[in-house]
Amino acid sequence: MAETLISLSKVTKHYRRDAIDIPVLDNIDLDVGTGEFLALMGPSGSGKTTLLNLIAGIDKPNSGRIEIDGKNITGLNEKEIAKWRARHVGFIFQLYNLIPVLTAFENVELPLLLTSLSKKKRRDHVMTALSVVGLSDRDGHYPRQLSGGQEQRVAIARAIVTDPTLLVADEPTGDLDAKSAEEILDLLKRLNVEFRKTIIMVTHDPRAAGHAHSVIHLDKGLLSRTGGVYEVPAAHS
Amino acid sequence: MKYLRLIVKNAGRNKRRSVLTILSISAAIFLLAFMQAIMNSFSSASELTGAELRLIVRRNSLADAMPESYREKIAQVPGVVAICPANWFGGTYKEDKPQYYFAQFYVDAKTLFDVQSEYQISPAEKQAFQQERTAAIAGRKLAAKYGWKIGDVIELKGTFHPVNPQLTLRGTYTTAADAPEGGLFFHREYVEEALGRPGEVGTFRIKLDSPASAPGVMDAVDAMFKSSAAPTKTETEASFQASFVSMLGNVKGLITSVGLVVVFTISLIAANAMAMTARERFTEVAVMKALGFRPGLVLGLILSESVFIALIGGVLGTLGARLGASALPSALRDMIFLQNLRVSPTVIALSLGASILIGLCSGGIPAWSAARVRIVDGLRRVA
Repeated sequence: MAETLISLSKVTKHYRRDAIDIPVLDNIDLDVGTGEFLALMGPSGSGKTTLLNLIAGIDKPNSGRIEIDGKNITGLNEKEIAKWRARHVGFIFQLYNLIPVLTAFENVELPLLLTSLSKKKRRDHVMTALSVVGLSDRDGHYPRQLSGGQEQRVAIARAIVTDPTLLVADEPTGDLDAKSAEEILDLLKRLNVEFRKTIIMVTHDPRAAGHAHSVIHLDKGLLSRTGGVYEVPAAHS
Repeated sequence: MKYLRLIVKNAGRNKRRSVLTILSISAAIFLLAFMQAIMNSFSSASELTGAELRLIVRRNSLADAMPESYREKIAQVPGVVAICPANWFGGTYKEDKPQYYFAQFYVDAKTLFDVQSEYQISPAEKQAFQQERTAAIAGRKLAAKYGWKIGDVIELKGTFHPVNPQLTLRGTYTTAADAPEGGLFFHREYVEEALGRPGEVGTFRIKLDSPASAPGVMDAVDAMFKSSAAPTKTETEASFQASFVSMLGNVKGLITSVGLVVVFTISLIAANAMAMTARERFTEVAVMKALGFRPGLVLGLILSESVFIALIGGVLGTLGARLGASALPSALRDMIFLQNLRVSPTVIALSLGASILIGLCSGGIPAWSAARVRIVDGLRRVA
């Protein structure tokens, strides 16, 4: 395996709903190498999105240690972790989550507003990101003027515009038709191969998981890993 | 500045709601600015040229009169250099409608200009006025308003006094460039004779040798008639003007209360609109925070949006008040002591400040709530 980028050690997460303690992750250990494309699978409520959130630094474990590129992110305060996320993590959501009143260009530019880049540099970065996802001619379009697949590509451009180390994708093809889903998965694969982005993708879809280098199964808070290229089960082929 | 586009676009996200919020804030600010302008007009009603050198002697009740004999006694008080008896007439010109209301006084024509030394009138017109019993003079703006020319006959119909003077305009006077349109002055002898009760004086206008003489003269005059059947109340012209305002009751208090209630109510409406806006963007805020927007920045952006909307309302409301003040018929201004009604730069600053405050107050809690949104909670709402 390549150099370790993500390292989880004895990570536990549980939620409290009213007075009830609900365990989600139980003493999880996980290493993900730099440049790896990892799929997280499991039934609903298995904790895969929670695990993704912990790795992305938008949630905190109850116990355990999470290191990303050698940095213990569990010890960072809210301000520090926000800064770290802006620099190191790109987010891709199932429902794209673009700002509807902003154009594609402005949506992609959003993370760059947090940097000290000049307007011109921001424009250059945005146009580069849009060209990577094949939408440089749609920069002035609003989300409502784009198809679902195009919206997701804009969201991917927003995720890569700051050139982050890690891309986290939560069901990125969950709201797309098969053709668009395939295009998005190809794009993610390209980002992984050509741009060496480490990608962690939560998915229910074995076909989507098939694009990953390896698949992690989560069930009842426990984790098992399937190395290599995931093979689509016969029932789905 | 790089966030300005984001703020402006978010402010216009729900256009109908934003427009309604802006309109409600503009209505509140219009009311606030207009009322403030009215209060300022009341305060400045007596800021006339030479007012610091003038006193007014009157009875406690403005409806009561003083005997003519007071004139000579007051004139003897050290510090008094001129005295002019003046009565308010309050008649109807043409029709009993606001556009025909203006100030009318019957005065001692010989001493009027000694006391009101700021009145500018040509010597010939002054002489013509003083020599003819039925002559009248009018403020130049007033004469222009009704199209009066020298020699025109002006007929008044008495309402408080059972007499209908027929006056001949013999002159016009001016004061300061920005002064109100002025009034109509005519001979008291003419009215007194028609009334058949010569010797009753509503007010004595006094000119002093110096502003420093005012306290002494006021005390001396009132002491002189303290034990008489008609005790006097001597006051500065500013105080006299203010007493007219006080006749309207606690207008300032009423105006302030109404203004504050309206602003508070509108703030609640705006706060509700901002809260709805923030609630609808729960997920978006979570996404922005996931992208690295810190809570303080999220708070600042939503507050700025709220202030932006409120400020547009404030600008519209202030402009409306300014237009409203300038469009108020001058007759109405005279009637309710609003000669100096205008939305001053201070009122503009105050109104814009109030609109910013509305924006901050209405956006405060929604912005605070948005800043505290947990990213996972916001994202879960969609998933």
